[in-house]
Amino acid sequence: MADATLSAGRSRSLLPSWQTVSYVLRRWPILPLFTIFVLVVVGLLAPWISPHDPLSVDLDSRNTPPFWYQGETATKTVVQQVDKWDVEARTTQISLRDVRKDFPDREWALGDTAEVVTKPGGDSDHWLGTDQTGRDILSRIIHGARVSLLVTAVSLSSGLVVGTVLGLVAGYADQIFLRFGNHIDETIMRIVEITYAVPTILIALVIVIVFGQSFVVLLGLLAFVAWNAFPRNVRAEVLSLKTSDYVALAKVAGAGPLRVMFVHIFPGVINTILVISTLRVGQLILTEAILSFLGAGIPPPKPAWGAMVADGREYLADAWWIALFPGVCIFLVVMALNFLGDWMRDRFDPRLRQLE
Amino acid sequence: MAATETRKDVVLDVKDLRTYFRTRWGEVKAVDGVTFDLRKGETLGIVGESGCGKSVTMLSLMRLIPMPPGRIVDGSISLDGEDLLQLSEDEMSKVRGSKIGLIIQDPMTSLNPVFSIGNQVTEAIRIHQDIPRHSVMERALDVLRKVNIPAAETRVRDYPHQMSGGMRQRVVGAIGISCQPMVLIADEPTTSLDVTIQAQYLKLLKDLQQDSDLSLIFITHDFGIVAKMCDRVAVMYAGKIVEMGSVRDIFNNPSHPYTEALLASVPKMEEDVDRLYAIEGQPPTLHNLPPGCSFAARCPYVMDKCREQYPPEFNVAEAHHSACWRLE
Amino acid sequence: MTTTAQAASGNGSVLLEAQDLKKYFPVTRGILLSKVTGHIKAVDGVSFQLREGETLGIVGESGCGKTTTAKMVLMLERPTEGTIFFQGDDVYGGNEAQRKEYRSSVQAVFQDPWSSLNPRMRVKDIIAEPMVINWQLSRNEIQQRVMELLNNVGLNDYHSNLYPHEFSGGQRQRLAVARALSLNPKVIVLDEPVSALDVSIRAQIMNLLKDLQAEFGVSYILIAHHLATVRYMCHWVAVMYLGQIVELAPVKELFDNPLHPYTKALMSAALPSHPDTPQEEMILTGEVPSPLNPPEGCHFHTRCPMVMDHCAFDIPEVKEVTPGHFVSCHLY
Repeated sequence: MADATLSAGRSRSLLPSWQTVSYVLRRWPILPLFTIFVLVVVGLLAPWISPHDPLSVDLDSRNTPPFWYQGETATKTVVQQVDKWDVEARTTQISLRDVRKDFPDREWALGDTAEVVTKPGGDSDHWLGTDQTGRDILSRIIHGARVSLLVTAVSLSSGLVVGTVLGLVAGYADQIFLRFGNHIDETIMRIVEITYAVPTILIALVIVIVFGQSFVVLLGLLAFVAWNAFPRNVRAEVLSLKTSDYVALAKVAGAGPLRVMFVHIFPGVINTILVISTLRVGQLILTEAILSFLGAGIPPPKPAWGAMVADGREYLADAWWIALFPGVCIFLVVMALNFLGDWMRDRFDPRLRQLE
Repeated sequence: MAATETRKDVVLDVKDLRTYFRTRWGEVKAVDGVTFDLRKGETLGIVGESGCGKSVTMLSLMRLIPMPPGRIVDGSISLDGEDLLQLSEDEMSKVRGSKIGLIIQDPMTSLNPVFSIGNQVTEAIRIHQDIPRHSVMERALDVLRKVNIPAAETRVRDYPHQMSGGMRQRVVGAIGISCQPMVLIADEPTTSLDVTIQAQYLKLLKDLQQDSDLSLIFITHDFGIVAKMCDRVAVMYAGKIVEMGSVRDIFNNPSHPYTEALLASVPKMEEDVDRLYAIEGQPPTLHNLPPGCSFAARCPYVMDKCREQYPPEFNVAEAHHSACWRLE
Repeated sequence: MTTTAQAASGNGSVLLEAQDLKKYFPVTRGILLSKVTGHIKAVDGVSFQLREGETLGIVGESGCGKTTTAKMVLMLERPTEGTIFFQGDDVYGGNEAQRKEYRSSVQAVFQDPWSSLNPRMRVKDIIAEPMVINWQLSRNEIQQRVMELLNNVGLNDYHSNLYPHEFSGGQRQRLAVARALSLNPKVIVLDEPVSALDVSIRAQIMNLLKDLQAEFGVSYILIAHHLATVRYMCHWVAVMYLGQIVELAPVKELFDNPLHPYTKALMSAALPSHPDTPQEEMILTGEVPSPLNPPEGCHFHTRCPMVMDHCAFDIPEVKEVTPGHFVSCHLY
């Protein structure tokens, strides 16, 4: 009896209950972290794990569907000439000329029946199919991840450095520059506000028309998108930290403005920077995709998710996979980053932390 | 005969109240078997440090415990012969404000910043009292005059931020008494006020009480307020009442070591004290209480028995009891 | 006048002296071309002396200027007028080296033990910071001194590796005291050091501060609103109202024989320590006027129960009524 209950209890504990799983998933950002981890690993290892060259064109196997896609065949009677205007005839008949071209290793006569492929199926050579020029979509997505990573890493880090420094200076200027501090603060914040009013994508299109599509122009544009979220939030954090008791006590102990800034204030700002960065990465990836979609982003033929979606637009009816898979990737990654950013904000925000 | 007389006087009778909270450290017994009564026109002080359960007791009386994570596990709260724990939420919200009023600590957060003072006082009156529309404002002015707000007629149009802290706390008091409750609970009503403003406010509360035979419950950590305001005192420690008695009994003859130590650790303004008695250690955390008496770890008279079994209440004198094994 | 007389009546030598300290905060209007429309006179001519090994209490209600006074002593605010002498030297008139010397001799403990320790630093780094800034010591010496300080305030060596959030309020206040002691300061400014703590912890910290004073001979300036705390901790008490000291006396003298009506009102408003304590009913009407526009004459005349006609325009002078007992009121 006791044994039975014991073993029952044990067998139950082997698999965590659904409640536990859903609780853990809600409490910790496991799925977003996993998504981002996959993105990073895939991006870093792209040349080694992609099954094909993302640039190699193969017109013979263009618009190949994904692997699970069953092709369709039909049994057709060989006739001299198929009546183009007869729908019924077109699905059941094949002309002698065509059948000879498709199956040249056999002799054909009128009245024979032939198994004809009406829609090609997918195969394991191209897991996610190919695009309109026969390039492997999976390989292009993998290399697109690498490009996205590179672009966001460069633009975010430059935007982060510039934005954070400006935020710190704006918030702490009155302690370092004394009388002029307020003017410096005002100037920086007005500039930030002006950049908020700039229609980035429109400007990007104009710049691309003027200077042509290039990688450097894109990085510059994205860095511009990245930086302006930092000064405002960093400054707000600095303003509250610099009036805190422990900063006053550091000054009483004789700490100069630079020590106060780097020992007491900057570490308190790091959490804010992390949260903003995470949320910004999602936005950068999205902006990059939008620009590529509009033809103002990563110059072709380099694979970029946004450009892939744009390419697949015309084939949506016949070959939806060209646009869908890169679109799903953009969605998942941006979503994951937003979830992670929100989670981090809840976790790091001192006002919310006390509720725990 | 005399006993029945006093029973009749009892307005609020709390028996064995238990309020527990579910936290990630396990079940926290914030209020663990609290029993007291309150007579008409009387002032009861509930004294204790932060985390002793005095504020949770107050919230339980008002049935304002956030559920979950909290829940009232056991006990009865009978107000004027009616068990509040048996009422539906609708019935309870009628009792709140009309029979029990509440003044809380922070006058900044207990008033809504986007409504005028007049608006907030009249709202309280309109919810609980069935009086004609045109006389609601008069009633509100009445109440505001009662709490000594100068020029109440013009002040009703003010918003909370236009008033000083003392004035705001008066308005909170006005809302608390607007519907002539039988019991008014004041949870540290003066901690955010300056000394002279505090004196004004305490005098006001005393006057109001005398005017309308109000019963007051004062929740505080300050024995000074108890000495000034209260008739009877309940001392709480770690979710339980450890000593209860009349204010003079408690001050003259504290019989629980915690009460005694607390009284000895407060500096006095009237006399020079060479060295204060300092209670050792920290107040216990409620999720990890030792067996036996919760004060044992800090008690100078601790015995073996104290660490094993929680002491029952021993009578020290009439209407003065204390939960300490030394009285056995 | 005040200061010399106060010196004559004391025992120890004068360590720190504030002379006619004033702090006015400008009130501005307009955003772009802002102009000053008035001044908040937070502190308006405050003088006092602090002797070696003694405690000076500054009491008053919120807005009376006691915290601003403390900030000026700590050099966190620069006085608009007046100055501070430390061991005879003018602190604000001296050179950079003198100011550095002064700063390391005057430390502080603040009210809120939750915000006065940097949450991202370990205890040992928090306590060591003043030494790292001011002294050239080796890592080992600093480490040793941190342990010594922790023991001084009743904590253990193993506490040094923890972060502030792992301590209770009382322990954090001990840490704050340890840090304030680290430079062997001559003066520690205590700004409401116990009012944020639990009742049963307050006595621990007050006793600790008294013990440390006896051991190291440090002087305290105690900012408080609780009169009983002041009586327990202080040797001298200054009562402030609207930026001015209205009464200054040795602690016993002040409590036995309060002279200024405001001091009397504060005492009658204080809560009794026993229900049978006789209490004068002297409840002030109204609230503290705005320091932006303080009343003419004696600042207290609008609330004073003993107001006379000339109080409304005559500014009372500071008088020494008995040796060491100063009051500024027309009654004397």
